Amino acid sequence: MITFKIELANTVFEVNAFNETTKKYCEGFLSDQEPKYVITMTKEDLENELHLSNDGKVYVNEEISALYRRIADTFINQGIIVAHGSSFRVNNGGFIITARSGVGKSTHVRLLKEYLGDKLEYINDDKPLLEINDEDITIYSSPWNGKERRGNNISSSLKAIIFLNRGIDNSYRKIESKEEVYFRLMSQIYLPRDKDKREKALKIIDILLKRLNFYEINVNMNSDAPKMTYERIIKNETK
Amino acid sequence: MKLNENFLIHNSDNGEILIPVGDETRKFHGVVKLNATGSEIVHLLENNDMSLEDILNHFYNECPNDDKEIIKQGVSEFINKLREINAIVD
Repeated sequence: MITFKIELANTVFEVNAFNETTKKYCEGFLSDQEPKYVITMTKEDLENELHLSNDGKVYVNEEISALYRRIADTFINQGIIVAHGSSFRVNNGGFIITARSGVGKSTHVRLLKEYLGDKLEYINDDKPLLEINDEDITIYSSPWNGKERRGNNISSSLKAIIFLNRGIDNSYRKIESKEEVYFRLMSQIYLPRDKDKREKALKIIDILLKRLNFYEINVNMNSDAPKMTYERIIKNETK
Repeated sequence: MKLNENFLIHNSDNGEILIPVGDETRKFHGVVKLNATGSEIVHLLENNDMSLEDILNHFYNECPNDDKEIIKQGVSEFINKLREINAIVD
């Protein structure tokens, strides 16, 4: 097996993997520090992966997908969950733009990057980690970083989660109803299968609902779309 | 019948939900939002092995002035929905 260590959300994992490609995929997160957890991939992990993913698809390959699941399942015990969305940092404030796959969240964040230039730093384009602290919610990157592999091994205080829809015209609104957010948010957070861990993840979602601001944007592909998101949401949240 | 132990009742500020865990997550990918009656039913079935009649009698006693037929229809429909997603076992 191939042994390597990665550091995610200030936590070091020793990973024993079958494939060199798994280590290569984690480049940018490799560490030489003492591990807190040891994860040894098994044949069963790989065989189960196809059945465990709801849509029957694996993330890059079975091992990279199974490693994501093992780490997400481990992290839940220390109050860290995995979100699905494209995340970035502007003026030291972190944001996640989330939507179902294929709706255009990565495209909108790319347009925001073109609009804001160096002011915007990609955190993670697909599966950022969220850590609940006493005072704050911190967003971290992870190796599971979307097709474009857009991301940096950086973190930020999370300010808001933005739900994106495709629209003919651009519009935005702050979602005041937590009940409205609840199920939308739940579908964008990794929920472990294990009963106790799933309960922990649901409790973390309850905390996110209490502490964060949520927005909905309807966007087209015009240049006005990133301007609206920045001027109406990001700028206000990072004042 | 009892609540399938591979279902979890989670209570939050946004109300109560019923969500699958373990192997049931492969079969049912959704979440059931519970109203007050639904919540009472799943809690009854979480802690007791009850028949439909037991549950109906519980509500008849709890709401003696309500129409029994309406109670029966509502409870039966909800129990059937729970059965469809395998949330209750006999």
